[in-house]
Amino acid sequence: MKFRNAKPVLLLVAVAIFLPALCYARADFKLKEGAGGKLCLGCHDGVREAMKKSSVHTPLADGECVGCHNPHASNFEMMMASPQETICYTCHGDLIPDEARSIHKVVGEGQCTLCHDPHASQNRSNLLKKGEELCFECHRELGDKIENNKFSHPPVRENCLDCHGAHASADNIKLLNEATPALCLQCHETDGEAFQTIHKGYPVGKADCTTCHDPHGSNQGAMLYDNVHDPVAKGSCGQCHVAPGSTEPFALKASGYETCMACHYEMINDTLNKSHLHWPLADDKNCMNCHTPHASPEKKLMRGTMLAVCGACHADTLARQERSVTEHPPIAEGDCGECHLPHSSDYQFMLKDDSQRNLCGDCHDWRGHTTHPIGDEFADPRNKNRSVECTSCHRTHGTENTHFLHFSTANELCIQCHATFRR
Amino acid sequence: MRISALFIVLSYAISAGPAAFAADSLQINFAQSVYDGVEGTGLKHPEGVGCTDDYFVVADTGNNRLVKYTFSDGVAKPAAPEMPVNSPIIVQINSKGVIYALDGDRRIVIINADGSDQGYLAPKGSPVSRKMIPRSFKIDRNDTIHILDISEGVVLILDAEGSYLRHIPVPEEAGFFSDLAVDRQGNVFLVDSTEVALYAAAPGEDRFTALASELGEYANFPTNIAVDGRGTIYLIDKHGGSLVLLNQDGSFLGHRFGYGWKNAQFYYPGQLCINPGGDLFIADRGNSRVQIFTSAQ
Repeated sequence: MKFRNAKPVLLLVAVAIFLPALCYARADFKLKEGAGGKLCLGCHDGVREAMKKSSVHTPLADGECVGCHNPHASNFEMMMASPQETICYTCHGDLIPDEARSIHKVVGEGQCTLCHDPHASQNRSNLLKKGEELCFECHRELGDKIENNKFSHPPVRENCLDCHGAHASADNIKLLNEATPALCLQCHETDGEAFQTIHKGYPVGKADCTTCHDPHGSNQGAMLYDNVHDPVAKGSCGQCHVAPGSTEPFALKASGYETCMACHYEMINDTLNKSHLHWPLADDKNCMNCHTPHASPEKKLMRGTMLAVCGACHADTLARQERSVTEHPPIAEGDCGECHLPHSSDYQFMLKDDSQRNLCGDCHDWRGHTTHPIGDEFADPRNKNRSVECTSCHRTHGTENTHFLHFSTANELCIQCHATFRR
Repeated sequence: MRISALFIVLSYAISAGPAAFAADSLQINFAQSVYDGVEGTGLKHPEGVGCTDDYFVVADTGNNRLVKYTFSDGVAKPAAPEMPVNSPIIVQINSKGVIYALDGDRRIVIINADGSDQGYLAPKGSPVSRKMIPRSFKIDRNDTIHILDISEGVVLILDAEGSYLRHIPVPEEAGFFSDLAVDRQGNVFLVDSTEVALYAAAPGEDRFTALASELGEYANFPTNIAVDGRGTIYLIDKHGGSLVLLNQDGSFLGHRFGYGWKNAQFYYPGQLCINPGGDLFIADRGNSRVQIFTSAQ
């Protein structure tokens, strides 16, 4: 059984287990007045100082240190009354809606203290830093991009929470406060003449703005993603789409990859002439399985990084690499195209070359690596139809052994072929 | 359990009696590996195999040919002539001995029992699949042809002459379908490789429903499927190099074999074929051979 959202579920189970115990423990202390917290401040000067800050966590302000800590003994760090990952949910159990569409990873993992100070802070909601400054602690790459973009989206520079929730979203992806385009239309009007003109009369006010525009800003005018499909850049929407006044104004003039073929004829023809087709290219989504038609933050208008796009279908291969003791850099770095052709190939496994020796040799100096005979001219002693290749010893996507070898010891590996040396 | 799954199980219970539920005792034993074609030319990355009780035909993909083998008393022998086909990947044989093969140009070539070429399969009178791109196809015991057309997202069903009978749309909210199978009762099964799931449509049904949607624990990337005469479902786990057995209702029955080079191990295997006698033929693509197994209960 798959548990794709297992962490929030486990979190709730853990809360259910620990909450009654916690409440019981507090009642069971039979504390004298003030002993639940005010007494603690007599020794814990740092906490007493923290209470001078503008935002103080309610239990602390109420003098209830035992709301979170056990004053006598604990199995958890900081003498917490229950695990740090679950204790906040004792009071804040409603942060994640049932069946939430998206959950902030750290919230799901119960790492509340990555954003909040459990005692006190000078920022609202006990946040460790102000607004976007805090977000960019983790989302640093995005922060740099926003800082350096030629064309910025002002709300993004001001407050991430204008568009995103901090904890979870019941209905929307990416913690968005509302789905697009409704979210965008809170600020942008679509019925003006300028808007209509620039969008060539197509009713894009009903479409998802983020298929073309990067809401975090970009280096392209109009905040289009950094890589723009040529017809879009030229405003030639009609090259692919029917007229804007049609009953289905976003419909394509031709079906499937025939739309793309109008310009990319040579490439598609070459693709289809090879014997091993990457099958998704031929299904009803065809090129759009991997590419996006208008604009993309990724080169070649990929839907995401190559790792994400390939991994959407080949999750088992990525999982194998993650489990592997030794990383194979092209996979770990998401460059599947280092070995495989993404559209079609005349070789098995959609490889770029029929010869493994050549293919692996592009990165590895196999002659320096081993004196073992490798190549078509050396038959595998186990199977006359196979030759000794790099994959005779290595599994390129990874194994549980070092250097992604098929076996854990050299002896075990070598005796597969050199059986007379078996001990 | 969904209605179609219930129907499939009941149909087996009625037709096969208690034997239908005794699949847990299924024994699959390695018999032999076939490495050579005619005149000793070694197989190269064979992806497909079609079979009967008396012979089988291998899609010798890397050598651009089909190779026929006689199969008598458990002994396989290559039989001339070889049939040149561009990168064949799936093979089926109908009751009259006509061979159908899906080739590297994504066309289904038809070859008569004597090896003569009959041309390509072109569906007649079909309201769908005008730009048919078959990912796979299967021929049932009535010679009805079932084609998984990924361009249109349908299973196209044709009679033995290639005339349109009906079609079933594949489920939209799914991953990618790689293969289909048809059992004795006419149930059609679809394997979703990327979501590691199984779908089924009972005879006459016009849509597929999920039969098993959580097979990820048992298979990595299943690409081929077959059903034996008892109704046991066999999935080839290409990336795991193994065989996954399921009951008629899609429940997990067992795991057989594994990744490797020895007999009864597979290296990125391709098509599986089960003949009426219960022999299994598996195109062991990465090991450039075909492995044959016997099965008994």
